[in-house]
Amino acid sequence: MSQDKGIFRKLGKPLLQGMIPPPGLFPEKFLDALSGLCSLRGKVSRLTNVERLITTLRHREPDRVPCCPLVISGSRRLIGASFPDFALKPETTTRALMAAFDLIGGEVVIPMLDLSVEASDFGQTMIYPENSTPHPDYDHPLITDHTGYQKLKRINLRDARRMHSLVEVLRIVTRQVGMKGVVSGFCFGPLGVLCMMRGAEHLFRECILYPTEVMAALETITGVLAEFIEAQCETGVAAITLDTLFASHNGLSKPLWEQMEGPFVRELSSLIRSKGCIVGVHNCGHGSYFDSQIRFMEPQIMSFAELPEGCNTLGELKKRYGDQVVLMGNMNTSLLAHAGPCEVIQDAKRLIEALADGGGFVLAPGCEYPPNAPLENAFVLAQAAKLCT
Amino acid sequence: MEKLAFHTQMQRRIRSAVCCHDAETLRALLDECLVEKSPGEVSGILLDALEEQRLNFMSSARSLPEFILTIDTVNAALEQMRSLEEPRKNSDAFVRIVIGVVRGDPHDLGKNIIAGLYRAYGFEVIDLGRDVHQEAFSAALTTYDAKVLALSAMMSTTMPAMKEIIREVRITGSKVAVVIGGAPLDAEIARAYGADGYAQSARHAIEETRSAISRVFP
Repeated sequence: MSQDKGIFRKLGKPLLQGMIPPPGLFPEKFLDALSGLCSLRGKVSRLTNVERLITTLRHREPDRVPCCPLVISGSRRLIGASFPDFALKPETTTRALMAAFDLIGGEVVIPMLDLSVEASDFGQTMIYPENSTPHPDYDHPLITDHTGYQKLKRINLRDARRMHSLVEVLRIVTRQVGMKGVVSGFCFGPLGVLCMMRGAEHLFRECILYPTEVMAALETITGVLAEFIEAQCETGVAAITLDTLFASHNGLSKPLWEQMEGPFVRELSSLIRSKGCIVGVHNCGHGSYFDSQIRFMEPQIMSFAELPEGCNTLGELKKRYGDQVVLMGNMNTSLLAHAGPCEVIQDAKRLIEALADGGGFVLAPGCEYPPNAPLENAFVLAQAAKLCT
Repeated sequence: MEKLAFHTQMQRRIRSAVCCHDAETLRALLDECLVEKSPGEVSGILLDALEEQRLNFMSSARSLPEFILTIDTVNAALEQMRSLEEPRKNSDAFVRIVIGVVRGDPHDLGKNIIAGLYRAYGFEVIDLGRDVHQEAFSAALTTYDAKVLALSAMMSTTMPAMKEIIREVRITGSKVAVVIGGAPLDAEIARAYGADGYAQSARHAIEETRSAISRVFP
């Protein structure tokens, strides 16, 4: 009884604040019934953004496919902010992301800063270019040889300026988006964070030559990421997206990934689920190991830029994984940067025809919307979700 | 008959050492091999072993980290061979390549792998590093009289610099095959930028470079 009261409190508090409660706290049967009703209603009238997503997440057909334009640092241009301001000033980040959400639309918002947030808090020297995404200063990597992995010190989240900034951004965006959409937090996987402090080439060699040392660093990083994820969950986000870039043909072999990063991301995804949040996984590599990622992380959503290993067509992908996870992507970002609206609509149509049948698909770019590309195609993408279903 | 058996066995052992990136065993095998064969023949066996690994990498039977270690191993062994071989600078097959990551871009993993591959396949590589300005590429092409310019960019924010570099190279009238690659690119963009070849990944760099060279220098 007291457990029931606890759950009602956890569900009631965000609802009273006009926010979505952690979806994992709702009973499965309730979500099934709700999505069934929404799917029926969607046949005759327009659903709200949240209804559309609930229906999609339960693998039922909504009124139309939901969309996530993934305009992240590109949003800075809507308010005339620079890259460094977007990356370093939470109020600017929030203003930019909300401008993108309000103007461009879409049902899913993934506020993030860049892929160096965690590494910079570990002490990696950064470069903040005026016209490009922030990145580590690879001339001065924090870890300079294989002995450095075991010397990596755990940091306190309280002193982690950039991680703290992202948590702050999530807190504000979640409140401002409210019931108009679903907000997902973001966390780079431990291998990705380590890559930012060592450089990919050295890290790849050392995963094979010094696995024990590398894993010691991954353990240290995972401890900090767990705290980071907990702080993100407390902001009221409905999901957390994990980026396991190296679980692909661009990274480690499948057995090596399962050995090196698999156990750590299993821990992080369990933590996300224990908070009632949805686990999302982002892939921008070629030939991602969907099977391993699903086994280790049990995600509900898989975002992808390229076809995963073992799938040669979108049809094969849908058949193999469509009932296990919600698929999100895989609009070509080069096309978004260079093509005209007609080509964008055609590409959206191709994806919707191949993946939207029976629900379980979110239209999105395969990776972040190109930050310096004209934003017109982001608007077209959001409209295509409405036009092409 | 005995010679053939020695050759086959040596090939197998060299292949195995390359596959396991066992530099020490490979060095000993090459020394053994050099008693019977010329440095050119031994280099040939080594390159066959690398080609096998490259094909395995192309079919994803070998991972990127394994392939990086293979390139390291083969390049170290080829250094050993080259010190024994005649200089090849007057040979028709000799091609000099200027390679670099465009300005503003710090990501050099792809460039380093491809530079390593080029070296292993007998090209002479002038590696300008990362975050390289247009002027540095132009100057290197003139200084080294290179036949190929290989450009890399990993960010959508930095890739437009490729277009400027290619335009500049064409304006100066230098006869050079330009090959470009990197995550945000595709074949269509490469064509629009005026490149002669597009290497989708390290898997395709050698073939693409060879065919770009044959198009520009028929």
